[in-house]
Amino acid sequence: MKPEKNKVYSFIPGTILKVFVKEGQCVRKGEDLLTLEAMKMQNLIKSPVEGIVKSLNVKEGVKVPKGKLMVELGFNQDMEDT
Amino acid sequence: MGLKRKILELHKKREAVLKGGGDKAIEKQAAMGKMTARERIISLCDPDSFHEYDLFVEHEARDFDMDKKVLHGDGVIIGTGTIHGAPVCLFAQDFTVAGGSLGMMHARKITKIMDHALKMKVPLIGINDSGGARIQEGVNSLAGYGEIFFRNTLSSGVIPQISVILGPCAGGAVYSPALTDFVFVVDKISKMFITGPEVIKTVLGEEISMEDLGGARVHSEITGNAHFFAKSEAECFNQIKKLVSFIPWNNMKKAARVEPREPKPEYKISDIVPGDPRQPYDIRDVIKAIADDSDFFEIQEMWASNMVIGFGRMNGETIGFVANQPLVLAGVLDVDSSDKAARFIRFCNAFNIPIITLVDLPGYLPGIDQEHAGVIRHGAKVLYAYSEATVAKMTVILRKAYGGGYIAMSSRHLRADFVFAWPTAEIAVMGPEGAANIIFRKEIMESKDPDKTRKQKVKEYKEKFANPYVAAARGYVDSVIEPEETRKLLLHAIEVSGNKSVFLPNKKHGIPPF
Repeated sequence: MKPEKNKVYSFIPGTILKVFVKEGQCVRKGEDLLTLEAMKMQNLIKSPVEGIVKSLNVKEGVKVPKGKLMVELGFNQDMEDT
Repeated sequence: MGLKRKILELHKKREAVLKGGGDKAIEKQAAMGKMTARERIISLCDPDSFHEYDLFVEHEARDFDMDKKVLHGDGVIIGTGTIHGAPVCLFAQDFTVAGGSLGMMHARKITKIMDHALKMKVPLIGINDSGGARIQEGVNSLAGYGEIFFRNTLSSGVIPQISVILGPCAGGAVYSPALTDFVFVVDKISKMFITGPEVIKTVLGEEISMEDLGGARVHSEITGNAHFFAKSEAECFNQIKKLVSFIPWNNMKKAARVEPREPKPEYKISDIVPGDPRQPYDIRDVIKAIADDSDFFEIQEMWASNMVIGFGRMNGETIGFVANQPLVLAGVLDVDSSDKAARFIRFCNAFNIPIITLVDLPGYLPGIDQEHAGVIRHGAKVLYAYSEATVAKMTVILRKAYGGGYIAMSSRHLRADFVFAWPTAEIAVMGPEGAANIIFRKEIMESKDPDKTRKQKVKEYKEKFANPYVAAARGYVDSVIEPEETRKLLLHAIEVSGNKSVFLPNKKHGIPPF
């Protein structure tokens, strides 16, 4: 029932312009993950939580449909969802 | 008995009642990380300004052995005080007395202070911390809620109404806050829902904690029911005090003026907005570059963040800011952001607060979800709210203003009083890509190199129409201005509109699409 904050989906179809993170990398909450160009804007997609990039499902230059799981973040055991 | 003894007797009686539910219950309240009702009122009001009414009220319930129970003050404190010198009426439910449950006399105390607020034309602040209806008092409890809701509605648009959720607020009780103008919540303390986790489990088999169902974060990020989120009660009270400083006592007054101050030099307006319209930026920095002292008090910060709303001041006068946020979802209009903006515009209009609208949006968010969620009727709320508003309306178009989004965001056509556009503004029926594809469809299709032709046509369209001058040529935009001139011209606009008056057709009330 609880929305899964650690999963980053595309909010609209668009093009991945830049990817700033790699799998396995630690990210802080609010850190830039990637740029999704859509709605006439290069939208900076930021990390909703602090955690580790568990899976990265997009590459620079690819087109993504709406609702694609672009990045999944994992938590360390001692990390709290802030 | 002499006067002295009578006074002593009063002191004794007071002392007993002031303890609320007694030491044990107060300890329990503290163990939950909560202040008592009395501590809350004292922290919120100016020192020594609170005067309590109905301290000695007692309940009249007789069933279920209730006649043997003493409930001090019947579980609620009411009275008047001042905040930053502004008079306010307050009530605070006392969870230490029968869980702050609402019985008949409890409700009568609340409605008494509500009537007082409406009569005296001062803001009403309600602190909610209650287990809900007092079951032993049956239908009298329900009557009490109904009487409260009725008064909330009657007072709406006459006096500002503020709800503070500092504990449980469940079942019917949630509708009083929902009818008021601003709802404050505190992390881990506030809990609001119509039906709690137990009922949900019994009826639907779904399991969820109180926090995940209706905690402070849920209402600040997901439902939009709350307007201000705080990490502690102390922070929450500071937020309330700040809000009170921005709003007038009632709908016949203007908010109190403060000493005007220039924006802080670190907010340099021409450095904030990128020239490339595809580059995002934080619109709140633009507001801070315009507003007095760069002070912007944001409302519903974490919900529908693609729209930014809140209060600031210009030349010492309170202003409502409504702005698209390019940083979130490119600043599109959608169901929630429309709802958020519309309600705020109506608050500003009801309470004589001029509105500055900053425009930079690609339009309405396309999609099946949005269409099926009713973006037509929700989006219409923005049009309605701006059209109906008679306060001074100033609009600045920074970059994109396309299609329906252009019309909705306080355009001239909805009777904005001043429409300024930056030279970077793009005011057109739709974006160059979309427009070129439609207008030049045949030429592109029949071309030897459709891609090249399309790019060429997009470029042509962009040069010809993606600018402020087509709209300026029709007078839809009053002036094309340099970003640096924005504050100066907005101050001028506010000065000019000081005596604005508008005549509207006579009606009982409009029927906005909600």
